[in-house]
Amino acid sequence: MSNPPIHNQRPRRSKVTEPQLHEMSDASLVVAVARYNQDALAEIFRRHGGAVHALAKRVTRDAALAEEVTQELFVRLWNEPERYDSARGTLRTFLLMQTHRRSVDVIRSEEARKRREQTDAAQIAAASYDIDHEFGDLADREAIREALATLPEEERRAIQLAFYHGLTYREVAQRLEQPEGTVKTRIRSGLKRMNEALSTWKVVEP
Amino acid sequence: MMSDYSNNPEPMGHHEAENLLGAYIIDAVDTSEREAIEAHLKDCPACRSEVDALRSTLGMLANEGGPAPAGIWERIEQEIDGLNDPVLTFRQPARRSRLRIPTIIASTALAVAAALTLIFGIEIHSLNHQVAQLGTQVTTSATKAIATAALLQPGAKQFALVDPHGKTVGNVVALRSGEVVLTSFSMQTLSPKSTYQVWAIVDERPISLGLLGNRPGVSVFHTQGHHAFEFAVTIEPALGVTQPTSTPVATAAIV
Repeated sequence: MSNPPIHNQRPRRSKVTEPQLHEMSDASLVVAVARYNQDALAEIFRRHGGAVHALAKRVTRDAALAEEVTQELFVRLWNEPERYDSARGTLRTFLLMQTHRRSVDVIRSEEARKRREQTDAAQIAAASYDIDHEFGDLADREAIREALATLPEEERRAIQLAFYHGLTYREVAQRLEQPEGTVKTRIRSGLKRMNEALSTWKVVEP
Repeated sequence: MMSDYSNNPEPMGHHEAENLLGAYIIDAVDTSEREAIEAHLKDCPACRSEVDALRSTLGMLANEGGPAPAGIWERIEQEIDGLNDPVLTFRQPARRSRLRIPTIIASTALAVAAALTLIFGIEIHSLNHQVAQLGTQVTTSATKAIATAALLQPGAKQFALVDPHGKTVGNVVALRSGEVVLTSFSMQTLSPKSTYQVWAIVDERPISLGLLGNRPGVSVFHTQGHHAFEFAVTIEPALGVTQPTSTPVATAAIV
């Protein structure tokens, strides 16, 4: 009598079938991840992995770093699912905020900074501040376009340099040759203005 | 002038923190400023509310479509599989699934307690010579569900945590299995230099059950088979103490 194949004896992490996972809300998937359901993490990756990677790549402008950040983010969600609080926003927003912060930290590390600085300054100086250039491939581009259109040019520039290029407000002030206090205020007032404009839109969860 | 909060013992003032909220939310502050703002946010509901409001805007700014490149998921899976090696960690899904819990989320609370037992493995009577850091607070949407699930356990009883004036400041649920779940706690946030510490009163002597940190959320602790009928919470230095140094700010009597 032969033994059954060894892979049949491996404990399965998942108790949930795939069609069920597709129907589950993001918050329910995170609860399943907290129960070590790896298929739930795969479903979260399927829904949001692309957005996480796209943002990491936009900020780091380095394919390898973007993949590292993406991998790190999802492994962290696996290890610490309790860090996501659904009362404070959508999972996508949570993941994207984490992605942005991690990407910024990565590019501010000395080694990466050295690599970037050689090309970055020239690129930023040469780039026109065209909304379509920066925001053309965004999923919510219509809403973003409208919201950004409400911003004075100085606020929009400050936000773009800080958010998409990972600069601190001090660095933005140097690039734009404006006082630090002014840049600080412009970033805040610009974001508040956008928030008001966007409040009539809802983020579409895929 | 540039402020360096890494060497500055003074907390950041409200006005300065508020002005930096926009830069903070898009990660355009340096590390020392980020830490100073986060310390301020803990104690400032107005700034917290602004940050929460701006967060969704930022989610949209970053919200690009498209699938992730092939290969990343495989690497994530490999890393996770490595983490799940039972030699490296106590996270063992198969073992957990044998827990007989009425709801999915209840297992989170009990797994936390089980993990505590694994980590500390100490009987309650030996705890009076050491301080256990709970590290088990749950701040997710699972919070309410854990509280509900705890109450659904057979024989679970809920008791109020009251301050010296008799005002209810929280609830604890005592489970037959010996876990005690702090299901809500509404006392003020302490400075980072302090912590709430939980004590079980056994034979009229306080025994440390662990630290709750300066902003307690849902927490689970374990009495390891000893029947404590009274619990107390004191405010202590952040690293905890082996015996209370102050009078309790809240107590719960289990009758």
